Formats: sequence, C-alpha cells, structure tokens
Amino acid sequence: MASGVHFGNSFKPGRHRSLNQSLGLTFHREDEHGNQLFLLHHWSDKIGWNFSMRKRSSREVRLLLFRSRKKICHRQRQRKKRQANAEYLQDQQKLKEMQYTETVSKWGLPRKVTLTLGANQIEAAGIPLKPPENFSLEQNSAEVIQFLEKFRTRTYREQRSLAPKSIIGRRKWIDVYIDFTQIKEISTAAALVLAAEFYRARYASRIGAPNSTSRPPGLVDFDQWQSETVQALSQLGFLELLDVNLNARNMLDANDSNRNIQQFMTGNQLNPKDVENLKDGLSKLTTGLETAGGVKFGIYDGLCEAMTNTIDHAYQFPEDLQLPYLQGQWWMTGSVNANGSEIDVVFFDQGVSIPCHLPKTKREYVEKLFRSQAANDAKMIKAAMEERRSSTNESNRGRGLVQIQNLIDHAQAGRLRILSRSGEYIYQKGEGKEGENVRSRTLKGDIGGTLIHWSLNVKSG
Amino acid sequence: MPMLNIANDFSKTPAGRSANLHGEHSGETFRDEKLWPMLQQAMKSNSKLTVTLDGTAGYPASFLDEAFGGMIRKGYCNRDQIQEHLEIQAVSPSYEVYRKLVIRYIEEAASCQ
Repeated sequence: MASGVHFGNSFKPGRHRSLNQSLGLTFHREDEHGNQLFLLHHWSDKIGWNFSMRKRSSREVRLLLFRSRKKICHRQRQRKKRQANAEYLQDQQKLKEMQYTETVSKWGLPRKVTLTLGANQIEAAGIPLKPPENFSLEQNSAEVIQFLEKFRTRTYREQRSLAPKSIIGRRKWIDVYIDFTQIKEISTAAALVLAAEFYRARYASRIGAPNSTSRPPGLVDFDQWQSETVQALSQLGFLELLDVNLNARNMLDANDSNRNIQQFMTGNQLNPKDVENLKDGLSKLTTGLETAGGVKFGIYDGLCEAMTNTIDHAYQFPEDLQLPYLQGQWWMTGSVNANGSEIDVVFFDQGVSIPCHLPKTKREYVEKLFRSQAANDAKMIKAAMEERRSSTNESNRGRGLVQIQNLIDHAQAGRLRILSRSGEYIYQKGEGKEGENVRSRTLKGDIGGTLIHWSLNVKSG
Repeated sequence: MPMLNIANDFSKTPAGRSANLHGEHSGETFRDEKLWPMLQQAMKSNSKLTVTLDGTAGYPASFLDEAFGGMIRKGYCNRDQIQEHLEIQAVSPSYEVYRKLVIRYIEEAASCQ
C-alpha cells in the first residue's frame, strides 16, 4: 500500500478550496514502466467521509480532474444562478412594494363597498375619492373646487372610469367613486356643478371621449349617506343620472328638508320654456316672487341671457377646452328655503369661461405675461361686468352680463356670484345702509366652466 | 291704427338674438317676421304701429336690442322713421323698464350709424 498524504478528520471540503487539496491529489512516484502514480483521496457525497487511497494512472487522473472541474464549474454556475434568482425575486418584491405604495398614495386604498345599480344591490370594490364634509361653494369653495379638479383629473386625464366593471371570478370593480358618505352639508350650487360633472361623465361617450361609457356609475354605500345629502341630490335629480331606483332606500319626506331644490334642467339650445318652468316651480314654493314682480322678470331675463351667452361664447374656442365637452350644454336649477324668504338660482356651463373668451386690451395682454392666469381671471370677469365688453367686439353686444347683474337690484337684498375658471366676482346688494358692494378675487383652483349664482332675499307673505 | 302685441302675436317667451343660433323666439325672427313687415305697412299708410310689451315672461336685453336696434343697424329704417311710425306701449308698470330699454337701444343704434 503506497503511503501518501494523510488527510485527517479535520479535512472538510468547505474549508479546502484548492483544487488539489479538495481532490486529495498529490504526486507520489513513478512505476516500473515510467508511469506517474498519484495518490488520490476523494470522497462521496452520499457516504460522507470516505477516503479511497489507491494509485491511479495519469490518464485516469486527468479524466477525474476534468470531471471534477466540470462539476465545480457546474456548481458555481448553479450557485450564481440561485443568487441571481434570489436577487431578481428581491427586486421584484421591492418593485411590487414600491408600486403598491405609489398606487396607494396616488389613488388611495381600495375598499369593499355595496353598489346600488338600478334596483339591485351588489358587492363591489373600488377606490374612493373623498369629498369635503361641507360640500358648499359658498362656505368652503377652496376645498370643493380642489375636489372637483381632482375628480376631473381622475376621470379624464388619468382615465379612471366611474362605471363599475365586471371582472370574471371577482366582485365588480370601480376605478374611482365619490364617497358621498363623507358629505354632511351640500349647497345647491355645488350639487349642480357635481351633477353637471356626472352628466358629462355619463354622456361623454356620445362625443367619443376616451374611456367614456354609457353605463351608469351606480351608487356606492347609499345606505350610509347623510339624509340631507340624499334629499338634496334626489330633489335635484342627481340620482336619476345614476339610474337609481329611489325605493332602494326608504326616502325621507322632502318636506322635512330645510330647503326645496328644483330638479335641474339641461340643454344645448336656448330654451326659454325651461326658464319659465323653473320660475313656475320656484313660484309654487314661495310667494316672494309674486310680491317682488321685478324678481320674476329678472330671473327670466338673467337665465335667458346666461343661456344665450353659453350658446354664443362658452364653447366658441374648443382648442381651449382640454376636457371632453358637450357643445352648448348648460345646467340650471333653483332652490327656496323653508320659509320662502331666500331664493337661489344657479346656472352652470363647462365652457372656456369668461376670462378666456373675452377680448383683451393691450394692457391686459401685457399684464397676462407678468401675472398668473388665476390673478388675471378675477380682473377679466370684473372688466366684463363693468365695461360691457363682448367677444364679438360689436358695440351693441355685451348687454347680457349687465342684465344678469340687474336681477339683484330687483330683490330686497341679494348677491350675484360669478365663478369663472379661477376668478370670482361678487355683486352684493344689502338692505338699508349697506348699499352695493362689488368685489373680485382669485380662487385656489378652476371651477371648470362658468357658474352664475343669484342669491335673493324676498318678502314672502 | 295697427297693433302688435308681442305676447299674443309672437311669443310669451321671447329670448335670444339670432334666428339661426337662438331659434324661433329670437329678436331677429320677431323683427323680420312681425315687426318690420307691420312697420313697413304703417309707413306706407302713414299711420303709427303700437307695439305692446305686456304679457310676456320678460325681455332679455339681446332680444330687445336685436329686434328694435337691429332695424336701424340693418338699414331697414332710421331713427326718425321709427319715432314717427312706432309707439312702444307698456300698460303694466312692470313692463315700463322694458319700454325704456327699447328706446335706449334705438337711440344707441342710431348714434352708431
């Protein structure tokens, strides 16, 4: 038995990285034929430590070396592959986490909801868009306008659909829904603007708007809505836009409400009959319109002029309208408080706005270069009201806005508020010594068109 | 004496300026189909046409301007002819404000000629 290098029990494959050592290969001597003899120690994975000590020919050794190298290379490749795989999986996991974090921060967490579609209630899931608790353009205009901007961004720029989608094997999914359960108070003007937004979202498919759908959005968590919100929106006719069966919830008596809102009217033509109908509806709720005769005529004149302006100017420059629009479309409504002394009349269009279509003087062009658009908007509305300026540049035009303002003069006291793009104009007439008050200011956002809101105080008998 | 009652002979809901854009209740339609033909007759017969404003839901400014001021701007007649052959009547005090507006729009249209 040839003696060779002795490997003790301390030998472990992991500790001896050298090829020769790991093979237990040592040159020993030559035999009688001049062949080199090697002492090879090797081990078997299956058996464990197993030292085989016998002489091998150089050919056999080379073969063993070749196989060993091949095996080592294979193991190294496998190890690298496993490492690469692990790194890839880690990266994928990190990416998923980042995407999830980004999605949640951008859209919010999805929620399980109850969806009312027609007379049916079904389980669904969706991402909520939370409106402010006080959904009033009078008391909380900044938050409401910001919310409306966000809603338009979600719906059109980011193309998130309001209508529920069917996903096979899963519950229905809604890209974005307004969480009406948040709203505790809602004003007539804000409700009308919201209704107009839903109307556009619902009917934008008619004009081929991207991602538009003729399917109704449906109501989410209707049972949890505040009763005042349900009353205001059902009176306005908002729920009909959503194809909701009012029996889906036990409706509260509308007479309990602290105000009565007329069902909104909409159209894309000058329709004085609609104005008459609205006026008649308001007359039934208060005697104030009859006692202040001028108000009755003023409402008709003001609303007809607002409609005329919408048809003539609001959608005149489609290149300035960055969102889908319904040509010439307007919305209007009115409301009366419980004792009939306060009348609100609201008119809205989603056009380019007064500051956009009004021709600018040279000075205003220069100012526009140095001031923000928003700062300019308030100034432009004021100029339109005061200077009888019109986009037609004809001397006999521009009378409409003046007549819109005259309605306030017919009332005992009142306020005209025009929100157009990012500008606000207020004309107020108080009782007694307060007298007239005109002011304009810049809003923290874009209302998405032009809103004309008359608040009138009348004596009801 | 020829009479034209806008509420009875034209529309109880007059509104709008242009016939194309604003429809059948517009000032242009009223002017071309009712007011100007009757005023022409009154001018031929050397009489005075009385236009009664009462009975309508109101009068948007654009309607009145197009109907009455538009006659001068379009060159149908001049201010003197209108003063001679047209009388604007408001029986109810509620319509008096519109009568004044009509006169003002005729004057403004004449001053721009």
